[in-house]
Amino acid sequence: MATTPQAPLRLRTQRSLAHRLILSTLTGRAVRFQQIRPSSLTHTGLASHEISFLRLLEAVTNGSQIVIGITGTELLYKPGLITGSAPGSGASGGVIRHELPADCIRGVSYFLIPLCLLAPFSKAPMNVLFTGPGVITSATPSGDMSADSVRTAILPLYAQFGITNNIELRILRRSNPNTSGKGGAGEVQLVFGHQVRLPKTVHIMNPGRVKKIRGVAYCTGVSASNNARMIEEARGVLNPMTGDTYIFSDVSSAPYPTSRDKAYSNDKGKTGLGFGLSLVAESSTGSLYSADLASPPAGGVPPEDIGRQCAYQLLESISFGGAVSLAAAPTVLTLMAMGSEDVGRLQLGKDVLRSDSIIGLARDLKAFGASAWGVRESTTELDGDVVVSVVGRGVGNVGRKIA
Amino acid sequence: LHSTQRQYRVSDFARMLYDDSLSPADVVRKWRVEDEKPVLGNGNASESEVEEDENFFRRAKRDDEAEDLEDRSIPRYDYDALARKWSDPDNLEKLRHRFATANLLK
Repeated sequence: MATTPQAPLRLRTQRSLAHRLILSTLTGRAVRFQQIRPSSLTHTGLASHEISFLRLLEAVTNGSQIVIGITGTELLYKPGLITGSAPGSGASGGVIRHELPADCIRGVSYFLIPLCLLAPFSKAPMNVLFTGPGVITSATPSGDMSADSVRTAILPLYAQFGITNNIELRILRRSNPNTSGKGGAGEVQLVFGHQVRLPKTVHIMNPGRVKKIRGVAYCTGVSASNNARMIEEARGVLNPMTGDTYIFSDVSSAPYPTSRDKAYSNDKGKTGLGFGLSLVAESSTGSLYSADLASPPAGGVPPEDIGRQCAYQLLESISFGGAVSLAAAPTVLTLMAMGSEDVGRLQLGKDVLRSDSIIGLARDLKAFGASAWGVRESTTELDGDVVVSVVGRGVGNVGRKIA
Repeated sequence: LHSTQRQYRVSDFARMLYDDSLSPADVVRKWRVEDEKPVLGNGNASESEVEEDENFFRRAKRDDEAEDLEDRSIPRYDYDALARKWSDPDNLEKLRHRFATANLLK
């Protein structure tokens, strides 16, 4: 197919780098990043989690070209075909092993959420095992949600787009960040076996009312009483609002790094001690609102505070309104933009639409060739909500069609 | 220009959303209540001039200043403020209509 090669799209800074790379891969448009942390004194250029994400992209695609400038502040990415875990392209036994480096400061959800966006458009099922000394399954201070929240608040969203079968996230080994905030030693496997040509056009207009709250309290390598104390406080805040609150407690021993991992890490003992809480509120129409908080790497915060603050964060997220929470909006809006050429509608809270990340996403989508969003006031009785209409691009993955 | 205009108008937002001369943070700020007050043109200009002078010998940005470029899926919250907000019975009562336990007849 003779297509005129478009000049790479020029983007600046490291803002939403992972999401922009995903958009580039889905639309088949090459992209050049400039000014990636140019003035940082300690961490100039691409960070280790970003390099690792590029490696992951290389593993699940075929024919991607990645050129990193000599200072690391420039990056050229030409996307290839999304092959998933097809045999013969780095996958052994249908599983791609992806090792995260020990100095990774982001939680594993930083990698999972973008990867899930690629998976429906892949040629073969996606099956990736995240392992190595950098896998943090808990929430992190850098603003990542826990792997539990990805499983309970992000993956169910795909069902609304008709992507339902054989999707699973297994948390094989839990880990909190190390005392330095870098790395853990967890293990997570993502199986995404439902590939579609185009996601369904959706009209998510009814946020419904919150009918139940579920959660997971996790602790690794510390006393199980921490879980009980977090749950007690969180329930104290949430019980007056809804009677149906159930928070699971998951106690696991500290991950013990394997001898291979030890070579990279400084401390030879157990790593990734800590505790945290993930809460998800589900409404009568299936809207999900999540909250996440974990003990800081340095410690020193009692579990009562974590439990209470996480519950407050959940109330705040619910109060933003809309049918999709702030954490889930990028996923839903991107899938809508990649859908068939039809107008999909989504009700969002004003506070969600008004966030930097969503405004940035709107501009990025337009830069990559999607049509502009229509924004209007919601007509339902719920005040403060807006309706965003998104026209699908109708192409799915360009790269896949050229092949 | 029109100081009497209603706050939080969605049409204003739609206009600013794709205006590349405004950064996302500017859009957010412009759309917020506190910025709805009319800004005097003069005061603004002199302010930026002063800033320019100060910026002439500027030190390199520290890492924590540049951190707003790092993407977060969970925004930074001021948990003390959140605790105050959500221990107030009035706020909880306002939120109650979002819960299935709410009494719809009220």
